[in-house]
Amino acid sequence: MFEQNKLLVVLLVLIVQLQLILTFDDANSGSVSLNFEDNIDGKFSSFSKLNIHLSSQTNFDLTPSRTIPLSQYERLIDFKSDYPYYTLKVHFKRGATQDYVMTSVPMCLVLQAQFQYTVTLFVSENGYIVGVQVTTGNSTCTLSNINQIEQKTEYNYKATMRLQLNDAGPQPDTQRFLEKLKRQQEAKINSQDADNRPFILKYWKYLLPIVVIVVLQSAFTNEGGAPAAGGGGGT
Amino acid sequence: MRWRKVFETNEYGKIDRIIWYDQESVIISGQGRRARSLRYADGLEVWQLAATTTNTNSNQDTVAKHCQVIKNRYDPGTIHILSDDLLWSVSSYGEMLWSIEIPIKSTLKNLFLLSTSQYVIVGSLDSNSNQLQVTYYSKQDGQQAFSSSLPWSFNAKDSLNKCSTMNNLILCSNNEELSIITIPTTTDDTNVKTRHIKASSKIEQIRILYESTTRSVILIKSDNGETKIYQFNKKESTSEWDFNELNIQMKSNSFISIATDKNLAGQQILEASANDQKLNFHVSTINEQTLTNTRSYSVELPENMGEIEYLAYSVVKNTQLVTLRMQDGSLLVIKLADNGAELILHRDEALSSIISVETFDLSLSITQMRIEEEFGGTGMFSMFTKRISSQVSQLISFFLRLLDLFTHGNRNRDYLDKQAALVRDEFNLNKILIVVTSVGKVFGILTQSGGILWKNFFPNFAPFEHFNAVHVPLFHIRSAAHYTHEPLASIVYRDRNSLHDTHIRTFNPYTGDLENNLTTSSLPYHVKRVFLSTQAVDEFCKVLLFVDTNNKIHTYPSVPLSRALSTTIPTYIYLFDKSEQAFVGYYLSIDENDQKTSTNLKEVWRVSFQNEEVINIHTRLSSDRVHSAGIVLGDRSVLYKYTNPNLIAVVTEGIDYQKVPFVNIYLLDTVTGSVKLSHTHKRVKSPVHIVLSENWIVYTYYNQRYRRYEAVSSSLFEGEAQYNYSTFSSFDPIEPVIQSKAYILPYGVNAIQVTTTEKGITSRDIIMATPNGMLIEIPWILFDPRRPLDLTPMDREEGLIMYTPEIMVNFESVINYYKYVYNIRGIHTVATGLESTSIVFAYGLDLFFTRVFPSRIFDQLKDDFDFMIIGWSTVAFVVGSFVAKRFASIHQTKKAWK
Repeated sequence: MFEQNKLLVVLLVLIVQLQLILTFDDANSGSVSLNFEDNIDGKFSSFSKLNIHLSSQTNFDLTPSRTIPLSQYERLIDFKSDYPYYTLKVHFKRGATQDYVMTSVPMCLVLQAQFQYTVTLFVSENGYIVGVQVTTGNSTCTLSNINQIEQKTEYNYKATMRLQLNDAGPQPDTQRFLEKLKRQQEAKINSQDADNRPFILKYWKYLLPIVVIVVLQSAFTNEGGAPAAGGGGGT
Repeated sequence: MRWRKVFETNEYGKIDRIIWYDQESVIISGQGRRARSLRYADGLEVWQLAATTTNTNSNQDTVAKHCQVIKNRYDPGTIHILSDDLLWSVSSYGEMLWSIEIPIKSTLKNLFLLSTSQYVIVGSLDSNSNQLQVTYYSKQDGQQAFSSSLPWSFNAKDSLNKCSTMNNLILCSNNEELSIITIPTTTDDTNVKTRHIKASSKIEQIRILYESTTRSVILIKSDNGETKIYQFNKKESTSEWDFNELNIQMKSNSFISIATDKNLAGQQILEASANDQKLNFHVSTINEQTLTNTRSYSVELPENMGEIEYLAYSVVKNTQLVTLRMQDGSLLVIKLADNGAELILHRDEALSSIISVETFDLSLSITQMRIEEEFGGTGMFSMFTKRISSQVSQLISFFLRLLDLFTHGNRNRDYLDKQAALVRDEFNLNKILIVVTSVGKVFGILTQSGGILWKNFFPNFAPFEHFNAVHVPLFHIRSAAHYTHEPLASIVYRDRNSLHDTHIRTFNPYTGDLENNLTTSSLPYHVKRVFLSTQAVDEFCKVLLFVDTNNKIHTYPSVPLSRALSTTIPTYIYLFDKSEQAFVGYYLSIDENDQKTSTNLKEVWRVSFQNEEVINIHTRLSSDRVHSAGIVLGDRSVLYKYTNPNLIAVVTEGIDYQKVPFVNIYLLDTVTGSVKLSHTHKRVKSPVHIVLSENWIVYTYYNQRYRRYEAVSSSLFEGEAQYNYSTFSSFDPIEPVIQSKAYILPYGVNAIQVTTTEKGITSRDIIMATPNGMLIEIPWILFDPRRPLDLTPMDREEGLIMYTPEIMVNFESVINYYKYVYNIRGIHTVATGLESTSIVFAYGLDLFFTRVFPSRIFDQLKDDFDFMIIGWSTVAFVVGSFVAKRFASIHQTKKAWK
């Protein structure tokens, strides 16, 4: 009987914990499913899908679901035929909310980097994706640069993804400032307390010139009394 | 102006009703929650009362709030106020007589307030049973006496909009019918009587012109322009009223006001109508059913002021005075006398509702123009002839001026002075301000004197909405740099009656004259956004570019896009979609040989905000200049600034999963749609004021937790090395390093702006307008996010100041001294010809203009510079050197003879 009761309590606790975890999970971290699309076919088509948990990890590697054959690559190099921008569209779904964000870079930058780029996703306070950025490591490109790249039969996406969360805005740093003031004050008091050296040691800087002057004066009165008097007569 | 009293900027400052007494007036404001009395003689606030309310959550549903204020006709010293669920009475001496709370529900709304000699009557609508509950409260102590109910056919909204109350009558218009409902005033008599007046067409407006315990006059206006006036007379010893129509012929746009005076035989009725630049008045005396003794007046107005918006007619000590507010915000006082009407006061109150400001340089003087022309040629021969001809003309003009001086003397002096004020000064310090007001009046103001040079009124004007504010795009179509052509400015606004129609008005900023070739009132598309072209097209004129609702771009006037925009630098445009809370970036591809005047936009990026609402977008000033690319540190190394010209600041508001309100600040790159900075502030309240300049942003907000205003300053840096020293591209793989610090502000903030100088060499100051009327100039150094807590010798070398959490404001930095300016909504800063000097123009309820010197005056001599000493000492030195030379030669000669 007692055993059964204990089991029941444990079970109840477990259920409550699970519930808590579930609600917390749903509201706070939550999983976000992402679908990456680009426009290299002339229309948007998916090349990678990913499910992520927020607040656990910030760097991911995208696993591409397709490759770019040489023929398509060459067609892309011929810029005039197509719109010269590489556009990345990221669909996201979190709970019931579903939307997409988008960014573009000049197509030749992506070609030059051979589809190796970094995707940065900006995540808002509530865990939704706000924006996306693609960086390839270059800002300029020339056709000759692309032509120099060794030809392959097919090209692979080598995209890494990074999550960037909202920063908490700064707060006026009164705490540290007050601490510093306190420290300074203490230091001042300490310096006053610690200074219990003998009088001569403490003020020797002021005493020394007086001593020197006295000594010099006495030396002059002994030897040069006459020139000093002569000077007085001159004026 | 004798006195002025500025009320609060929050809801307590919004006036609901003013009740006039002989010596003072009682002003009810804040949705019936505040009552105060002002004395006419000196503007002194004699007393103020706040409603005692226990209901704290009433702030949340401000939408449904409404209030009614009446003066008890049987006891004129008592005012009854009904504010949602609160009924209170005050006496004109500032005594709160009583206050009670009447419970309301979503189905039960208090709508009407009436008063009798014994009772205060509240009519509340019960929308469940469609009945009007009439409750009687004792006038003495607010005790509920009794109540009754009557059937009611209007809903709450219609009852508010279409009904008025008068004595113990409720007047409601129902299409072509006016229902007059008599509310019984005593317990014995419970009969509710309803009578009707038929009108020829749908009734638009009912206005009560005069109200007393025995007589009332109302005006009924139908939508076909027909206006009728009814006179109500109370039947002896009952609570019922008789009414009859007054026989009066009125124009459709005329206004009516009634004046009563003890000295007058009867009541006088004034009919006023505006006709172009003329006001017509007809004054008559009301007899039983007709008007007698009609006199007509008319007065010529100095300018077009549109229609009449408000009219009040009064007779003060046998002087007939008419006070009018016109559509353009002008306040007029006109005196009617036997010898005609006379305009005795005209104030442009529109100047307190400025929404857009631009500055234009003044034109060059003729001599300055000649100098420009003299050095304008290219070939050797043409330069020579230009030189000769200009010098000949200079000579001729000199002789003409001399001749003029001898023949006319100083007669033309005023005219010449006026002309001189319109000519650019040596340092380009004086400018002309073009201000657009929310009522549609545009002013040209000279900064030198603050005098209004010209004004233009556009009657069908409606501004565009921009989040919580209104704005009107105002552009420099042609700047004053092209001295051979007059400069041009354009404003774009909506039509007051059909909000989808867009008007463009182009005018000369010096004279206000409309340029009819560049003025239109019909664009064949619905405008979503307007901006200015980057290239000048014909005769140095830029063109306007419009994005329509189909995301197509058009030019006005129609020119090929390839001429309006640069074909080498790509053009990006962003639009904000309010329904989806998303920013969408577009790319505009233009072919050099393309002759298309409109094209579609291509979507290249998108940034979306879920569960947060965008409340403001802030862009940097177009005149923002960055002089140095980096900051020299204490160890002589350079920290490079991240000066991205494509950044915009976005402010959003939301509630997080813990139900804590937050404000987010983002810096968006408008070329790639990437986020360069994102700050979240919890328990913080808008408004957020932003300054975005160079590589830094400063924003202010209200911290609810600590109940104080705070400012955050952030700087973006590239780091120790610069990615590309010559050009900036948003595609550069730069990850900006962000440094931020927060500061406590000593005052609240109404508006904030940064000073602008010509080359951006001068250090920056932040100009801040505070609610207590000060304009404070704070050096940006105090906001520097690199201010260290512990100052090292290296920091000292660099010139940094130690971090203190509070920004100390020295009273010397108040740039308006004791000339306090209130309710400032915006600050406009402009560069001048002197690098040290920036012009500051603050506008709101008051206007303030001054010059500031953020790095002190380093490029000009001080005002008290002693020219005499310098001059005389130079002369003395020259003379001295000659004398010395002579002596030296004599000395030499003597020496040689030895």
